Amino acid sequence: MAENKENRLSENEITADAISYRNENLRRRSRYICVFAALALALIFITVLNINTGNVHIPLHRILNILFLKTGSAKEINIIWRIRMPRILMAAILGGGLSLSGFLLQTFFENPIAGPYVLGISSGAKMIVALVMIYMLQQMKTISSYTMIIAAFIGSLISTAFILLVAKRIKNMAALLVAGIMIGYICSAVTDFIITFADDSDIANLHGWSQGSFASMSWSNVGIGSVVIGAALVLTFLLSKPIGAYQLGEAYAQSMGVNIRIFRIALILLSSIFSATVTAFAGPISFVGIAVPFLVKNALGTSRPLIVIPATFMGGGVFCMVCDLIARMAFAPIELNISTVTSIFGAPIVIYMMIHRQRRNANA
Amino acid sequence: MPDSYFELKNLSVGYNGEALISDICIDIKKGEIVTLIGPNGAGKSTILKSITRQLNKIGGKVILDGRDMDCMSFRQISTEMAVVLTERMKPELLTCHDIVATGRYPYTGKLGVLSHEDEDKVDQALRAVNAEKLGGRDFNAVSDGQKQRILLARAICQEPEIIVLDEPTSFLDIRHKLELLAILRRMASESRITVVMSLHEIDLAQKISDKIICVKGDRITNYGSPEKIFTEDTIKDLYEIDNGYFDPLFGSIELPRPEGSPQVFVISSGGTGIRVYRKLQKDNIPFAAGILYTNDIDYQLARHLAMDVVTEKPFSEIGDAAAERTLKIMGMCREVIYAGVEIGSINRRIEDIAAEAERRGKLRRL
Amino acid sequence: MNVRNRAVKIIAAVAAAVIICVTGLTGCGGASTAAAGGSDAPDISGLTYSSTMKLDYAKCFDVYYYKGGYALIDVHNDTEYLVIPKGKKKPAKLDKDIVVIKKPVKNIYLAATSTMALFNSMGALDRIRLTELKASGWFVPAAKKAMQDGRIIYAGKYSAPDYEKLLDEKCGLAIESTMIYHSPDVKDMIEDIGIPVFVDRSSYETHPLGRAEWIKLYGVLTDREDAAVKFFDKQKKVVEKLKNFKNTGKTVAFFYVSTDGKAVVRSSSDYIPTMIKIAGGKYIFSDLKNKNGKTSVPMSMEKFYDEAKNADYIVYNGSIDSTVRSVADLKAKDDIFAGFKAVKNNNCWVTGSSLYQRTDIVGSLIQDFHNLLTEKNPHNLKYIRKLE
Repeated sequence: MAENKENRLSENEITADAISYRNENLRRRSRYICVFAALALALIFITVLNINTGNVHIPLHRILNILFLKTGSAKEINIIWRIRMPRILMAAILGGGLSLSGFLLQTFFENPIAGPYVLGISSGAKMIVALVMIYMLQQMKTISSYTMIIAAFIGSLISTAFILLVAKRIKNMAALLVAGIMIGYICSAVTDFIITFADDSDIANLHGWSQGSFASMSWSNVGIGSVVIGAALVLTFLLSKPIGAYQLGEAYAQSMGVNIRIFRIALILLSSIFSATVTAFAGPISFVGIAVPFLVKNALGTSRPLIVIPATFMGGGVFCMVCDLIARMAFAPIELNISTVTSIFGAPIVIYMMIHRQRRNANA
Repeated sequence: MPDSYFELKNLSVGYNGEALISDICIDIKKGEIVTLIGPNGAGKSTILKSITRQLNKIGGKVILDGRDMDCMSFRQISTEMAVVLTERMKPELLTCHDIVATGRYPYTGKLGVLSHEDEDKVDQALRAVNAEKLGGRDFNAVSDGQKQRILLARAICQEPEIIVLDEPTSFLDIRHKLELLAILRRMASESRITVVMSLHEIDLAQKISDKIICVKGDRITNYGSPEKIFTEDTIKDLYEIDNGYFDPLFGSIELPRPEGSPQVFVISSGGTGIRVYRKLQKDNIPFAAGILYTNDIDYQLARHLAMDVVTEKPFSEIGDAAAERTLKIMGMCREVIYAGVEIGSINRRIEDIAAEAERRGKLRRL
Repeated sequence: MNVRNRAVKIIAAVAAAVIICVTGLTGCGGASTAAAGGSDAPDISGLTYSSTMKLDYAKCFDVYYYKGGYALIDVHNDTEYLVIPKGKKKPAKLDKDIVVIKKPVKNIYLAATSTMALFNSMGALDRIRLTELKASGWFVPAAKKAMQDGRIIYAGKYSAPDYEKLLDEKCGLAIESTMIYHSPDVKDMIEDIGIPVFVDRSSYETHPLGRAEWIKLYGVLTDREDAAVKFFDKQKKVVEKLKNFKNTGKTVAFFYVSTDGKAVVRSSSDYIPTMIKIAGGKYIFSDLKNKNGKTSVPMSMEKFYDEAKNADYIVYNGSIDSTVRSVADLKAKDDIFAGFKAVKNNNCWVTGSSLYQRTDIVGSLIQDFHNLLTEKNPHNLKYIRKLE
């Protein structure tokens, strides 16, 4: 109430000045440039730090030789190129994809708390991975890593299909969120049911997988990951305009020419491709999808999709690379699971965000 | 019809395949302001949502500038029709400029980047609604009234030929109501933009609209100019008013009169009686009024609020019949209030009546 | 724009699906089809077959020798490994599924803990540089000392090895247990950085000597075949002396209690029941099979009680669950133990944690069992302890 009175008073102030849209945009542009520059610098810095850090110490000049001149001892070349580089690249690419997945879901549900794992996508992936793991190990005694990747991907898509089916019937966003959470619970229950019948040894590593890890990434992983996520990134960027219209609500978006039905499907599909790919290669990683878009939007001071989408992708890459570095080195040679680290950073951010939002809603 | 711009042909609207209102046949010309009025839940919003294609219509056709809207894509429609809705939205971190700028959506390229021209149009639209100073503010930080103006600016920025508004004045105080309607009036007459809206404030609807559509039950009960529609009986039937009156002459709304045999007699003329009537009404004291010429302004109100009114033909001397009736009624009342009468050559008799009341000890002069 | 957008999205989705399917088809399966049974030496173009290793008890592998010092190790129902002598080349048209191991094999990463004792027994401990257990986890004294001296270092669990360390130490071979199949991405990664992976399947042998005979395989890898054969023959002699024991008819229940309250026993064809049989005892389950071919069989306490309550001896598997140190501990696991004959007669024993790791002392273990079954007051048992 007090705020409203202030507004009305300021309208009558003779000294209050109006800023033209062009000037406002110019002013904001410099802020955006700062943020992007900061992100780019952070990206470079954290990449260098990551390449330089590992259980085996390789001095900087030899690293540069390996990277740019491709000369060096076979052992060191292997360490940099086969162990560190794929891992760093995957952390960046998957981190970016995961945060965009969160951004798209937050747009869809018009709620900043929505995230890929809130909707049970990781539970679906875990369920199918558990099923396939147990079946393959019992029948064939072995399981290939690509089978696990495909299993996780299919599991994620199955959960997504359920959400889409439910979304056809339920229009209320809050109810849809609840439905998503319930689907997550159902998948978890099914997984526990399957585990009960399995031998301990069969599912020994299921828990480890479900905490997420960027270790053991190969260049073929990087290849597929970057193609899929790259394509999805481009498509998401092309959706900037309808997303901008959708920020005013479905009715206004439609009045501006957006085909709402196709748009909503596209949002969910793209979001799932992102989170399914990440889950497939690295397992479920929590909080990135919620924390990063929030941080980026507040740093930029705007939620215009044309700016936010690239910044969120970069921000996600930086966030995951930092968390991966900590996971690797904090208690070396023991490696923490990536979800542990992202939760330690991500959860306080989400809590702060909820309080901040409550306070803002109370004032508005 | 050659100059019909927006036509509804046998339109039926409703939800889930069931028609709420059927057989709507309306012809709207370019630059007209058309207002839907009707009781709550009658279906005004349903009709508006159907013509903007937010809701699937049940049957019939909507013709926009000669084209069937069913054959138009959402994109084509968006260059012609803009909306202002009742939906509350909470976009985050967007300024008022940003909100208005989304109106340029149908005109920008693939990524929605605004040209200098677009940015200028945003400023112009804000100027049209007197909200230039709000441009740089966060949208969520402005008041409801300001938000409504921003949304209207957004619609203006879309450069439509027709604007559809659903109860645009709902959250506004009197000043902003007037402002908004004035803007709409200006848009319609200067830029020839057609306005279709729904209003609860029938007094405002009467004053601003070119045409009125009455929605009740399962049909359009009335369609025509305000002069035709705004009769006391039409409005009374439309809203089923049994607890008050609507005066179409001034577009005013009155609460019901105090019932019973009159206890007070009010003598007044030229507007002096009005505040007395209202006070008596609030105190729930039934009263009578007179002697009022039927062209007197007090008469307009007294005929609603008083139990009995003694009248006289305009510009005539007060006749015996009127005087006698007055005295008779005064006899039953306990008090006579003399609110002030402009005594001229033809109504001297009122003074006599006042004197008589004084003699009986009932007079009170204000 | 709507129609075009939709088309683009459909194409993208289809492309993604196609990519996934193609990689899926090429990646499925995993295990190569090795020659099952191993009766015929496989043809390798460029190599001439010379002889087959003679095996007395081992049934899960075969070694075929080829002229020029080449050897093909065929682990049944798993992979074939071609061992290439120093300085020699890999045959030109070698089957892609055969894993190449180049001699000399040095700086081994040992993640199959049961093979450590074998390496030690043939004097090949110096070939091992990295393991997945810390010093405190070893019950092979020589290994423990080597770790404490820093000659062998810890390189991370099998499911999360320190790849950089493996490369830094110039690891020449990773020996993994079958658990590596639960982390296929780790196996792929190790192979990706140029280190061949050998999967040990010795625990699938039904006879304890068969399990020990794997030392001959590891002898081929480390050029210690003579030492390996010598050690194995010694153990064989010890065991064969024991084979002439008359069966005492006494029954033994060998098990542990899992965290979810089940009794986990061995299938009747496992090497531990076989050891008990050789030692002159009878394993309580004469015909128990795990439907999945695994050696451990979990069963509910009720069923276990039903079948094993009259066992003469209880021997608790302390190598998996080391929390049971007294009869009270056993009864604390489940009240029903109080009703067992062996508990009532105070005939409860526990094996040390070394049972799993000490694959080299088969004979001594069997001797211990034998003493347990035959002596009135068994004491001086090296690897079995009484529960008080």
